[in-house]
Amino acid sequence: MEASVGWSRRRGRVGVDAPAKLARSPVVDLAVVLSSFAALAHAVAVPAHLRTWPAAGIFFIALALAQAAFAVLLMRDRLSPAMTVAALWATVGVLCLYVVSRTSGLPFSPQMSAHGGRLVAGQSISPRTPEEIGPLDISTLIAELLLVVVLLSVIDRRARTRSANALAAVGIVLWTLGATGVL
Amino acid sequence: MGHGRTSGETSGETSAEIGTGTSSRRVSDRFSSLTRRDVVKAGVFAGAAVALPAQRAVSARSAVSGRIAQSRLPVPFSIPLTVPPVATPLRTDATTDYYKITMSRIEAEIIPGLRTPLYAYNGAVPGPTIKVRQGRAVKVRFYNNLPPVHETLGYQQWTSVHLHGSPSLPQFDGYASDVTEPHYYKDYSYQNAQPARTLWYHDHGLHHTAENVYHGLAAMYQLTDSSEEALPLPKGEYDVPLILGDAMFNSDGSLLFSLEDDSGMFGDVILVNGRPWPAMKVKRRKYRFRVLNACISRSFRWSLDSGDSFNVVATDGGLMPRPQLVRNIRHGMAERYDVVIDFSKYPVGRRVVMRNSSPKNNENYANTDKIMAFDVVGDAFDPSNNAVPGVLATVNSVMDLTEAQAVRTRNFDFRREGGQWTINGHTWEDVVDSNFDFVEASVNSGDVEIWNLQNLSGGWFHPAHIHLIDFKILDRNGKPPFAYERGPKDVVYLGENETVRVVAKFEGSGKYMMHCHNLVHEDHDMMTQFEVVNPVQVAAHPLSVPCKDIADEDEF
Repeated sequence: MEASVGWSRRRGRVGVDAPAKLARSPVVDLAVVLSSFAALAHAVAVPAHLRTWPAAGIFFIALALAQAAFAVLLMRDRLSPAMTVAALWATVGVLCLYVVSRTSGLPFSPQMSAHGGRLVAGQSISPRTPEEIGPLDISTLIAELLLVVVLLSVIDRRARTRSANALAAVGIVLWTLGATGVL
Repeated sequence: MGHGRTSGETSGETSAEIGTGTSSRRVSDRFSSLTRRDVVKAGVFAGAAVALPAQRAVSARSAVSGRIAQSRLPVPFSIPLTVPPVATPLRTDATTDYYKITMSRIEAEIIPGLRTPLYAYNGAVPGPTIKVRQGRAVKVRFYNNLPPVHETLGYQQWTSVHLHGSPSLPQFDGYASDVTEPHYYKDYSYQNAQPARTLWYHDHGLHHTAENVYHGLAAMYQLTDSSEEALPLPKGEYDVPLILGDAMFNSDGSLLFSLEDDSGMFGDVILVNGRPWPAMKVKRRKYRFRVLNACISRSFRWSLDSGDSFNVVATDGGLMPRPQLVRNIRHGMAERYDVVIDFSKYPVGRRVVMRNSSPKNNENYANTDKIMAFDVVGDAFDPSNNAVPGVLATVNSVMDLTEAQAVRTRNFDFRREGGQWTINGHTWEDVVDSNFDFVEASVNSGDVEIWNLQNLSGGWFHPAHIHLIDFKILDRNGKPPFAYERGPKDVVYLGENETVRVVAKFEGSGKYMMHCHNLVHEDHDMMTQFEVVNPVQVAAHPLSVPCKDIADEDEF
């Protein structure tokens, strides 16, 4: 039996083709696993983030739910091409956030969030503190990078070319920020 | 649905590849449809996502790899001890001495041949000693002239000055969040009503106390009174401050500050008054040494290599009721022990080494088992004030406290929880988040209470410091305190799996901090506050006297 991936058109109740959906395949199943893993990893990190910075905790809850929902939609063949491209770029956004948080620190985090505490006197702006990198961070990073590649591989050629170009551009921006000491 | 089905099989409908028309391709074909160019483009992004954080992490971890070679460190006891300068008042009046002290970046030679950037009070590390008699007020204008941002650690260099051992008013107590920015100043006022004692002033700025003290913002403050002056204890040149520290250096001479899991900062060089393993010439008589452990995280168990005992005459809160003869002291950070060592028993030429058999959970290096040496010389000396009387303080309001006077017992649990250092599960963040309303304990002024301080871990120790008060140690794990602890204290060593009960009378008014004096623990948030409630004397808020811009400086 041949395995394949692709977009399937479902016939609507009135016999009109519904928008194409991403059909199940090993590649899509891989995306399900990767997205589920990322969701689980972010869920595990929720309590610690809620303690140190509640807004981050809420963000992690939302992110975990979104990634879990994405996995479910993938499993149920409910994803349109546009949704898949959106998921790809949402994942790229999360990865960019990760890079900033592990290099220069997030610009909008509370002061010294890593230590717990905010300054009130003197109106200081403290330097941001990069978060530490642990095993869970690394495995989630790998999962999300693979997810980006997998999603890139299943979108249509035109979108893929555009997305690959944009990915390269984002990468160049990150490298430039790293080289100039911003990150 | 499972692997191996075609999309058509999956949906039961006609499959149609959007855009490519290759729905029947194998999965491997599908991946291969990512062109090499696509892969390279994605790789540019993936490379950045992996490499930039990794590079940051590696450079942070490799900080220790820049450590200076052991061979470039001075040979122990090859450098003479120096004593910090004594601060000179700017002016005095009938009641008060006025000082101006500036915090600034300096460079000094600690390791021979290398320049080390430091932070100094009035250009000295340790800073100048302030000496004052009981009842005479001191006002200090502290200027923060530090660079805005630390040159290698990157933090903003705000400060807050705490006079450790003084029941200062809340607004002058060095409240951690009451910070003074670079190019700002703040006036601090100290009443000095308490009995004679060895105090010290040091930085207490929010989250950066460890770095600031490590770089030099610490100094001694000696308070005398007529009772102490009347005693025949060694005085003048025979009354010597010994400020212990430890540091680690990069090969360029700069200080290496490295935190491992927030557990502490342990240097491989032991400093006394800023000198590495110094040697001091001593005459054949008694000396009083005011030994302050100003380390960030290192505790000592120090003794003399002669095996001889020595007298402890004072603790954090001043003179002990009676001297205590001991052979060694487990000495936690911020604790002060004034000891009298009698060198008359040694022949001229004898070297007596102050050595360190390190307590548990310190990181030790090649020469951290040594502190300094005393070289006995035959020079003539003044024979006066060369005794240790059997009774040092006939009345001591702290040491006279009894368990029966206590109206309440409170428990304080120092523990690691959720990746943070906590007290009763709370951190300073809880205080900040409550807009500084949260208090761990609310005590009525005048009440005597027993505080039960617990460290139920075997993995670290916590010198617990309670601001405002002096306390008496009742017991440790149900046993009497060590002999050298039988004096008034404001820091108590909570060793591994130790529970210490202390009793204190709370007087005054306002909010005060209590924290672990491992400054890394303190910064990473093992700090909380308590309040003394006094309906007659309502205290000012600790943040009620903010710093001022140096450009708009008031007259002083």
